[in-house]
Amino acid sequence: MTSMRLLAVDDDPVFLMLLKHVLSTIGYEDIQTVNSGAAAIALLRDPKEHFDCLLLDIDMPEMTGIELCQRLRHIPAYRDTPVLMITAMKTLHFVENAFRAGANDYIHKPVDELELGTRLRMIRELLAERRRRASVETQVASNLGLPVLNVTFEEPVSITEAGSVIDYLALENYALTLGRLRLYGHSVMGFSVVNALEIYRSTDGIGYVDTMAIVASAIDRALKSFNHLIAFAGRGEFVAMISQRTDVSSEVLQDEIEMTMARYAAVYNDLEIPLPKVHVGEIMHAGFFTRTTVNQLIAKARESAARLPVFGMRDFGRAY
Amino acid sequence: MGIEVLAPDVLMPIRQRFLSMLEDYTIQISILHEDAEDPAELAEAMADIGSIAHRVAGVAATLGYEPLGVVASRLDQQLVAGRQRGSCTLEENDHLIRLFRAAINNALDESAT
Repeated sequence: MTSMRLLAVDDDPVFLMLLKHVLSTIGYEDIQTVNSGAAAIALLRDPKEHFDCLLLDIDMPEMTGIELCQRLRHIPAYRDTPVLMITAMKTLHFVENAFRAGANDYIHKPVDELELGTRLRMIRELLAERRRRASVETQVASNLGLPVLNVTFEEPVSITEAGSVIDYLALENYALTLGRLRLYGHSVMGFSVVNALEIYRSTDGIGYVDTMAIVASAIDRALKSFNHLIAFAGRGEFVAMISQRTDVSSEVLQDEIEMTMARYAAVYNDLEIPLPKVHVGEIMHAGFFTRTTVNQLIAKARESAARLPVFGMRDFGRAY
Repeated sequence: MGIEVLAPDVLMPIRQRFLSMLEDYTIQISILHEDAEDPAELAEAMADIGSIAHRVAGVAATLGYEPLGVVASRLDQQLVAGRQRGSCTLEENDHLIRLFRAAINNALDESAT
């Protein structure tokens, strides 16, 4: 097992003692604890210290876990470090804000050993994959003497430039915390860049990720009147979760996104990269009496976006 | 019959720390309850009671005090909901606060026997 160094932050000393005990019983011994956001920031800024994963309580006096998460994302060494929020609060408002602040996952107090173990195992696998990729990228970069971002077409790379964009895994984790009743009050939409493969082939990893970030900003802008979260799912596909049951028109959103993207036409022409063409899927809702799972709902939204209309379709260029 | 070797209670030091904090909490809740009767201090007192309930809710069940954990969690959620609504009166929370104190005292009595 790849070992992980953990930092846990909670103002309750009893909870920290208990958390250390639970973590040690599931194989995590390298744990540092602090009782405030300020102490955590001081530790995270110390270049001699390094942590692989951070566990933060949301409800702390002075600096909340959400504020701490926002602040630590500005420390370069912790921009992508997995953050697991731990809290007794079950209010949706806090869950959403935690993900928006850059959290990757969320579990409730009292801490369940099995649940914590599962979440940390997922984080460990994510870190192992990142280390493997970083090693390949370093090798390629040193061979070519160039900065290289090795991105595959299928993978949901991290795009965090737009305000409401979070990692795909974080979006799935957020959706899973909603439960059936809350999921009923949400809407899910898929967005597909129909010429994503062409874009991917016409530029390098950095150019491709930058282009998807611009699309993410355009989607974010189109959804501005809703409380929402967006994630890049790979393959030029995006998923948005809207915190209300709305019947917003896909066509209206598509028009707005096209208008935003049209502003970049000259730039993309100069770069000889195809201008992204976005197809907006139908809006999806969970039925209250049906047992639609979160993953099924997201999959349906993505399928709908990836399926181009047969009649009256716009000029989507060369679809793949 | 062999000699029965009991596994050491690894949670004992944590439980003892928790119980010592419960003793402090019960005093603090009494003071905060009195403070809450003054409208000028109501909001702050209720927030502090909520903070205690939040802490207790996070650990009580795991340490073997499940009924206390349930009451603490209910009070925590009720106070959070009240704050979000913008109305958090002593009257509507009084019963649950008293129940919370009783559950704390019960946990302390259990541990003393």
